[in-house]
Amino acid sequence: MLFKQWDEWAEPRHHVDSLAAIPPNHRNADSLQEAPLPLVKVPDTLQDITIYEQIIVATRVLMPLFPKEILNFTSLGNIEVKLNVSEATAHLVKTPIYKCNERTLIIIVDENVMQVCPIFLNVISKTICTMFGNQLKFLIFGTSDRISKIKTINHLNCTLIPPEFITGFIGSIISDLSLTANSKFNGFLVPSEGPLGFEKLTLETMEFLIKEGGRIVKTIDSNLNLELYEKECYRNWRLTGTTIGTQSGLYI
Amino acid sequence: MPSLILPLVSTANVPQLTVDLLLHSTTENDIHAFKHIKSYSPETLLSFLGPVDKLPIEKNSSSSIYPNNQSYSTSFELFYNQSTDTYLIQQRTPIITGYLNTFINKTIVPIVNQYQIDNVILLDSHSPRDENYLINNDNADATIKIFSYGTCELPNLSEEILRELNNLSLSISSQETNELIESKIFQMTKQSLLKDLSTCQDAWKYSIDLIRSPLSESLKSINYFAMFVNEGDNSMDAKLFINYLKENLSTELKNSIKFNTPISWEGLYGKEMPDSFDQGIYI
Repeated sequence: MLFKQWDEWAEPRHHVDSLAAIPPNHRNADSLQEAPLPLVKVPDTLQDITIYEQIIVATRVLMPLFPKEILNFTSLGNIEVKLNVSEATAHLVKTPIYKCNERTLIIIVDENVMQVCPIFLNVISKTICTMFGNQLKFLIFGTSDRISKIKTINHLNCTLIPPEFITGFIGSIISDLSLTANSKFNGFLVPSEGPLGFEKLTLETMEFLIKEGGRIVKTIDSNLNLELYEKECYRNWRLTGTTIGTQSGLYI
Repeated sequence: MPSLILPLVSTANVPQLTVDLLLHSTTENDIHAFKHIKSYSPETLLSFLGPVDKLPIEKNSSSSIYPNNQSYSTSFELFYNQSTDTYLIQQRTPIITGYLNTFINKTIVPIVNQYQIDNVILLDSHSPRDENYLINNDNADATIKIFSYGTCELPNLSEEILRELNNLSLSISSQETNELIESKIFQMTKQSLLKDLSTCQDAWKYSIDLIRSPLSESLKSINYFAMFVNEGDNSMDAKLFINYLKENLSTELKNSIKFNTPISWEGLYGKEMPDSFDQGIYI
């Protein structure tokens, strides 16, 4: 049911069935009171960021581009976002942050339409932007089902053409960066299909991403075996079932 | 005194489409009456990032609404028309479930306060599926009407009502309280399809939060406009709605002589874009 985009009775298009952070039967649901915003805790290892030059940001579906097995990532902890709904109930979203080399950080955000309320993604985005927006160069990898071909993005020019747009975590972080003075970012947006966190990519898109990913990881680790990297990317993508095409079988 | 036009994300996004027309309206002196003031990216809205919208004649140049160095548009933007002293908001994405009041209090009320807004104009749309709207079944004329127009003059609200509103802190589910408050805040015109605002409507929450906010002292009135629509190609609905607004809002729209469609509408229901774009720019 998740991937079917049709229904006998079409939902009005302004209704977006976003996951509620606060349960519907909570006393806040129908009241005039403000809802609590999630609180953020940043790991102590990130207190001094002046040593870094760039930060790579991607969503979980693009995680195969950064195989931990062959890239030497060092974990710096998690950005923890917590929402206390009541004394007994709390939601916690952990976003791991890694160090690729002495100059590069990497954040992979778990964007999952079934489990993570968009308020968490927006709060994570604002936190990252506040911490790094003015100091580090951002390299962003994102997907969107509202673009028809691969786009390069940067802070100077917009390559999207109306009515193309992006949403989700990547939409949030680029929005926040575009509103931050002196922020610098570039990256790639690729077309995808399916809900956030469960996107499918074409083999052509994957090929492009792996080629670009290889170019980037080579700048991080000059001794990297590119052939091994590509094999590992394809293998991981097959494992996560992200492909559209003959590999993905008959059913969606 | 300044007015603020605020589209609610509602059925078929007709208020957003109407704001598009207004934003790209032409006056005698200027191709664009409205200029971009500020972009926001509130955490309480679903995120959005798109290119800046423009007129078809500006396709190969920069938009004259936005400053030259701005290349992206966000989920929530503020514009200003100097000649009519009117602020205009374009909201491109819905509010995250459960965060309506937070959004109003953290984003809308500060704008009303900062720009000393005197009059807020809410634009809304509803369909047969929206059960919370109070249709005026007693008025035979209303069955052929599609528009509704109501006003709330804040200085005319009685002490009793204001006291009731300030006590509505947690739950408004009591039927008695709802009936007491409904029909005492907004005065709808006799020609309106709606007989009143229901306490279950978003517009009602906007109004109450604005009335109760100690920050928005400048606010004197709230105007509510709604249109009955069905989902589909709603570009004509937006054109009908803006004409209705022009009839009733002579001050705010007096200089607009032509309402143009921006290039984002080319993919709304047209043939130029692939199927996945058939629902237009708004989510």
